[in-house]
Amino acid sequence: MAVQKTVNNGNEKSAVFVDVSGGEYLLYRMTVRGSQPVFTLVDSKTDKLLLSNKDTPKSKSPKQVYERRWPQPADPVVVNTSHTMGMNFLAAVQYDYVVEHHRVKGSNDQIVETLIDITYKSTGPEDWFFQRLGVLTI
Amino acid sequence: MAMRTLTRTAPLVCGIVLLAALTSAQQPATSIATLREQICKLEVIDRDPDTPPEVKSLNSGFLAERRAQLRELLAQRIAALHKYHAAVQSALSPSELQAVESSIHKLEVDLQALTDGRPLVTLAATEAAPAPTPVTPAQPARIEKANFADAAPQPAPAVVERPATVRENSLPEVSPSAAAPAPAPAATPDTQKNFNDWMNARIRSIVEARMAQRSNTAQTETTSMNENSTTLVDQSSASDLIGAGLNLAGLSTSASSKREANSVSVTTSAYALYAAANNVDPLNPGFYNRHRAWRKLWFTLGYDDEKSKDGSTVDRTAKTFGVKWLVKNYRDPSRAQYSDDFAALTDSLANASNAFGDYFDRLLGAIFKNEKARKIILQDFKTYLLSQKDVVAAGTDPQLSSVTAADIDELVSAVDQNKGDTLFVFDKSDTIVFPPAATRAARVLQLRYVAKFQNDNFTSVDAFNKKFGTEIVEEFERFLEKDMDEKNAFVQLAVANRALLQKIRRAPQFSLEFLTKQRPATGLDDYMGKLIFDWGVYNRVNLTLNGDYMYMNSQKVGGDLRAGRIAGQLQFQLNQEPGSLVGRKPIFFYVGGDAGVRDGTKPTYHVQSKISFSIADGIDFPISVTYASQRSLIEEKKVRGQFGFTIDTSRLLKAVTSGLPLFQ
Repeated sequence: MAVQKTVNNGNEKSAVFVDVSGGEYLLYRMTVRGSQPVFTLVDSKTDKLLLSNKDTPKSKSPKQVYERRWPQPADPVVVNTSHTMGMNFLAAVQYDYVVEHHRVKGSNDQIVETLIDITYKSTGPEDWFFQRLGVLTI
Repeated sequence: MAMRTLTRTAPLVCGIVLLAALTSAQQPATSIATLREQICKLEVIDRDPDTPPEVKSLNSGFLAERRAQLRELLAQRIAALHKYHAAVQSALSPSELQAVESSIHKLEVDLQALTDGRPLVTLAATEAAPAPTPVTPAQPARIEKANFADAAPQPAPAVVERPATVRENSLPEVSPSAAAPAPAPAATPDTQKNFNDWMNARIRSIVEARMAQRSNTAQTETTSMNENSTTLVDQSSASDLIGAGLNLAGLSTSASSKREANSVSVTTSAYALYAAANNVDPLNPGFYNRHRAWRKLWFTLGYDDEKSKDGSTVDRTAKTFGVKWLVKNYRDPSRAQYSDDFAALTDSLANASNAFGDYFDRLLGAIFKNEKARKIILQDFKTYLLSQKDVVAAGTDPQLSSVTAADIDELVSAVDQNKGDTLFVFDKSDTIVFPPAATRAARVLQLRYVAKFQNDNFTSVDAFNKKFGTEIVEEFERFLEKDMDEKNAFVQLAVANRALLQKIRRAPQFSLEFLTKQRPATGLDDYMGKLIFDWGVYNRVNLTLNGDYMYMNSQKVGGDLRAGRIAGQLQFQLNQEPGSLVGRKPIFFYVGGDAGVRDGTKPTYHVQSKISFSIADGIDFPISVTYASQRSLIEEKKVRGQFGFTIDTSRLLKAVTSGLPLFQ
């Protein structure tokens, strides 16, 4: 059973430039369905696990949603890296993955662009899938 | 002199700006022919030695932008023609096919010329030339072999410090003999994908993870109590939501004019009803795990056609009611006993995610270090820089707030003066490094371009190969296979996944079931209590044991009957399901039997073998052959064939929906 991938509204970017010093950040959001979701978001250059199913979900109902802002103060920032979301379907059947590019100016937090908005489905317990986003920062 | 220059420059600038304005207004509908015409006009100005430098600079920006647009349009048109060619190949005559191939070839020649930076006026002339011999699709651009080992120039001080990540393997050296031009590979479904999906497919094919089959003890067949069931034993659990079993008439029935005997049963879990009543997604992890107790209870409703004693007619229909309680379920993934295993699986997935990103980093570095690719990239970068001038002037993009036109000119000049080796410098860990003197503007513009480059070029492997040649991707694939053999992050993930899956599947389950068959017409009702035990004896081998006691209540005085039965079944999964690669479904083979005693009769036994194919996700097709010790037990013959369909709606739901409105 292959993973069925549906790109919503054509939102599937390969890379993004984030002006961190200018108040920009990325917001990762993962919505899961199934008994035991297993997913990981990893920064390839710093080897840092940014978000996973081990984290506390931001909301549990009506949908179970995990969220992570990047970078946080403690996050090492490298000029170019890859942020890869890995998803496992052993005991999960669906993941909805969204990445937003935000800019904060004063008290105004606006979405610059939705970079990724993809739904992944599979009923094959042997399936997994990876979605990579190139991240360039200054 | 100044006045003369001004009078000569002004109309030109006005003309170019007017042309640009007109064409940008037509942008959405710009065709290949229109673009070609515009480019020819702009090229005339570009080649004119009398064109003042400032006009030339402006003109060259517009020209580069249109050439890029035309490249994109040509690539799209070529891809569409290839698709058309493949689709209608059998329907067209040889001459018609040749016409299509000739069109493709012409467009490919144009595209190649654009990629090489040749003026369009030259290639426009090729259109008038006789049609060349058709060539195979995707004739590759002839570029130098990608040499992953070629280190880019290393500036002394690295501005950005990379955290301590040690790469165990370096990209392979390319032998001189490998520099020969490689034949263009045919476009495949994989290479038509974007780089992300292509890499997933390549890694999957290398790993060839062979995971075991899906849940193998969720019963969807009609219960063994029914005459027409294809199973002798019942299993300890059923579908999480709703399971339906439909057994069609036996293969051995003789007269086609007679009414055939069928049986149907529907089993639903209390959990499915509870989730529906609460209007909650039953697959919400929190809800699913919090309400485990509701998944311990199932209800069954159905009917069973029963035949007359001589088996010639269906003389009554019995209604079936049942309830099943899963007393012990060690196969629930949410059990605490599996939490460490899932934590380990998460770690394996994190390692594999890291490796996936790392591969992309290496691919990106390899592209920017490749000499031939850099030439194309630097020209693209120049085009991009010129296009950013207007954005800077407009001041609409906060990311460019610190960038001036002079910063852009400086970078354009660096490209023009072949100082490209100071741009896009990737170190050995494929991290971009800047000379200490690099301004913020230079960094911002380069980094923005690298992001744009990926968004423009990682959307299709085929398009990338057409633009940069096939060598980079081919070399990367070889590296991927070699590196995965050594590193095995993905293999470890597959192994961890499989080990946990088998551990869960082999855990025991124990349940109690009560079933009754009501026959209002005759007043003879059956009541059955059952113990059911499932246990994974070995990988892909499952043992199921049943112990039954049946009481048949008759309205006749002294007509009550009592019966006992024990049954067992071994289930073998014949194939190891490789899953998504080839789409193979699990095939199960069963061997089972039962022995029963009944008031006033001799002990009886059945032996059954059965094979079950998964036709589609959630729909199985069982075929069984049963031997009985007494002829009367299976009608006119001692050996009887039976087939049916089973439907597991929870699997169907998972397969075809992201959540039905009912559950949202």
